[in-house]
Amino acid sequence: MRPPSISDYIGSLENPDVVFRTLTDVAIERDIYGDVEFCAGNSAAIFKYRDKDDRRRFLKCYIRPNPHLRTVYEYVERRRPAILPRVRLLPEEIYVHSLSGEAGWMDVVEGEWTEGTTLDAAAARAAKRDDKGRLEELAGAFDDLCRELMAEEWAHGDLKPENIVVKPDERLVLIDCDAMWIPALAGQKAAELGTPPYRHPERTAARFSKRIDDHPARLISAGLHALALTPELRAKYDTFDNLVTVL
Amino acid sequence: MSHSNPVTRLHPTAFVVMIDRSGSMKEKIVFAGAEMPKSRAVTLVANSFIDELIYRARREDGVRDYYDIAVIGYSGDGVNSLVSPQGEFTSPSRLAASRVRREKFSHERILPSGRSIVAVTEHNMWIGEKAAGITPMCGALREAASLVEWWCRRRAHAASYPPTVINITDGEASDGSADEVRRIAERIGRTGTSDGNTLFINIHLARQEAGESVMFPSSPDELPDHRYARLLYDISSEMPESYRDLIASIHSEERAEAMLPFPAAFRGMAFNSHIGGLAAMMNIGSVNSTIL
Repeated sequence: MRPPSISDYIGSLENPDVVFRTLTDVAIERDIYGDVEFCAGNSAAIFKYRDKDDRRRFLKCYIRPNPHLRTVYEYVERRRPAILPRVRLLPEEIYVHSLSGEAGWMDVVEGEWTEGTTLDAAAARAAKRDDKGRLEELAGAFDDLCRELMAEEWAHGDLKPENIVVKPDERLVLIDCDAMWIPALAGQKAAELGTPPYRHPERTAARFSKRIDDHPARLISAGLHALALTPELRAKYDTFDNLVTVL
Repeated sequence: MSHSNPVTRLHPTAFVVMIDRSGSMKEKIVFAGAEMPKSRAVTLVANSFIDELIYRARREDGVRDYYDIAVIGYSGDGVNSLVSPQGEFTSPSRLAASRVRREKFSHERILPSGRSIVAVTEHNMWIGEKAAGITPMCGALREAASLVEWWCRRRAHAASYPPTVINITDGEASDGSADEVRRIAERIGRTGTSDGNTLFINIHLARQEAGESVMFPSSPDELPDHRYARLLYDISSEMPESYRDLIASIHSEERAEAMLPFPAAFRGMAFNSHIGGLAAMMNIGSVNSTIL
């Protein structure tokens, strides 16, 4: 089946006859109007839900094909790196009906919802308050995260402040594994190229290796340290999608 | 490579949807297991497309304005803006903030077990259903051309992903000749940004006596022997290379295999399309651009 639209997923999840292959007791969270709550990315929509123990979890439903997904998530589930969330890919998990008339089983990525604030939001808030101390803390925490990341045999592939969560215990963790490089993908082309403001100018699908996090890591670290010195840089150079302007 | 710039809030893109609401759209068809006028089916698909644009722009911090949206209806009552009273573009955040009327749509679904159920889904009615009078497509094309010309002239859009214009119709223009249609279409095709020309996609819906259906043809030889099919082919844009995999995915497996290696280019058009094909084509139009 062609990848469904977000509307197709919503239409399927809202329906009492929604069919899951393995999941049970999925209570999708809704807003005050009764509409399904979700947020979208470039390739998927993420729906929050409560399981039977009232724990908050998420379903990631894809609107674009990604041939590496099963390989990547099998690796993540097996290796369980400390700086990644506990997630799993459930193959052909949800039966989706499309407005175009098609219907079929779609893979979903499912896992525990990572509570916290994105590094982007935390840095923006600290910069707005001119809180240099907090920005220094975030810069230091990010550098620590990078040291752990560089020691791993894999690369995240879409390193950006929105994909880093500052947990309530102040630990930083990465989210969104879709663009990961793992050793099993050596020699293959990337399915995703990261996010332009943080992507190396010469990064291509063919240049897919353990090194793809180097450039964004340097950029984000420099940006955070720069903000820690001069928080007003954020307001001066805010282009919506950058931590600070790309130099 | 053209049509490759990412879509951002600083460099948004634009969508213009043109919808034929002439009298011929009263014709009954079967959609999602239910018989209904073509106008109702098109309205459902178009409203779903607008919803999809809003949904794709939703992030943790709210709905982001990654694109400008305009919808034009054309019928015996003239050419009208359907989602923005002033006739300009609107935005996802503005649409998301407005509480629009909703309608329930009952349709048949077959579950994996084979059991048939009647599913009821709710749909935002950004545009209402209408089918009346003649087909002032030339007037609508001029309006679309004016909108994209204005949009492309803005300095903020100079490096944006180019606009996409989608025309949904089941017939020919009644307010101008084929040459007039070509002339105005060329006007649309001449607009664009540094990332490429405006994409002009034409989707012709089948009528009852319809023959062979064609979607995203790669050459005029694939068209039925019909002068209107050729006109639509001529005025529709060549789809950028980045669309090739998506386009291949909507053809049948058999046709997709026969196409290997992929043709050099596809035209953004469909002739004698059914409503399911309309939904698939519009989904492609919204999905391909890389949105931050």
